[in-house]
Amino acid sequence: MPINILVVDDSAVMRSMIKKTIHRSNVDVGDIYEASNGQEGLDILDQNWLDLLFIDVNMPIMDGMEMLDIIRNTPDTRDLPVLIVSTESNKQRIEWINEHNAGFVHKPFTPEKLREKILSVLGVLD
Amino acid sequence: METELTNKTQSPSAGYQDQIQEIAYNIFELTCYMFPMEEWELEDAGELERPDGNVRSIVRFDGAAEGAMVISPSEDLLEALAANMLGVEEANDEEKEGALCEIANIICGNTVPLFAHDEQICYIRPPRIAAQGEDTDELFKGMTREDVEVLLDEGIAEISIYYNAEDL
Repeated sequence: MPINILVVDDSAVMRSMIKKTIHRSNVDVGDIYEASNGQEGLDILDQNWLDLLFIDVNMPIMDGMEMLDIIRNTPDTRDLPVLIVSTESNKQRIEWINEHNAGFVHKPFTPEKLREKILSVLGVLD
Repeated sequence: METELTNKTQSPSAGYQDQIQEIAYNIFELTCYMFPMEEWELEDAGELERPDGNVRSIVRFDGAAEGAMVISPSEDLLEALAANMLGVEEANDEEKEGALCEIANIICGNTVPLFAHDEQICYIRPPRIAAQGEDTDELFKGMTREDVEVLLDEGIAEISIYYNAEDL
C-alpha cells in the first residue's frame, strides 16, 4: 500500500533532494507533502493522513526537536513513524532521537540507505 | 588519485586536508553524482574554469569545536550542482545559492567531527551566502585555516576550514 510522507525542512533544495531520493528508493509512495518548519509541518499533519515524517533538526519558527516532542506528546500521533534527517550525528543527539522513538538519517544518504531506514522505521525490517 | 593541495598557513595539522578532501569527494558523489577527475584529466586541469569567489557559502560551527567552512565553486560547478540537486535544467540564482548552501552544510557537518573530540556536541549553524568582497580571513582572524581544492568532472571547488587549534 502506498505511504503518504511529509518532508519538513527549511531548505527547498533539501526537500527536493529527499523527495527525489525517496522516489529512487523503490518504496511504494503515495503523496509527498512539504513544510518549511515544524509549525507548518504540524498544520499539515493535522489535516492529512500521513504514514511517515522526515524532519530536519535546525529550522526557524519551530525546530525538529520541538516538533518531535509535540508529536510524541499528542495521542493521535505518538506512534507515527519519524525519521530525523541531519548532518550532525553526535552521540547525545542520537540518544535523544532514540528516546523519542524516531529513526535517524545522516546526510548524505543513498536511495538504498533511505529505503533501509524507511522500512526499518515502518517496522517492515527488524 | 593525485590532486594539488594548497596549504597557505602551513598548519601543523596538514593531515586534515586529505581527510577533508576525501569527505568532500564522497559527498559530491553521493549527493550530486559528481566524481573526482581521473588522473588523465588532471593534465588539463590548469585550463579549467576556476572559482572566482563571486558566490561563496559560509557555514559556522561551535560547541566542542569552533570555526567555519567556506566553499567557493567555479561557475560551471555551481550550475551543475543546482541542476543535479534540484533536477532542473537551468537553475536561477536563488536555486544555485540554495544548492551551494546545502552542499556546504553537508560537507561541514561531516567535517566538523575532525576538529572536535569524539562524541562531543558540535552545532552547525545555518549556511549563508557571503557578501561580495567579504573577507573571511578577517572574519575568522586568529583561527587556523586549512585549504583544499576539489577537482570534479563538473568543475572545481575550493574549500577553506577555519578552526581553533586549541580545541583539539
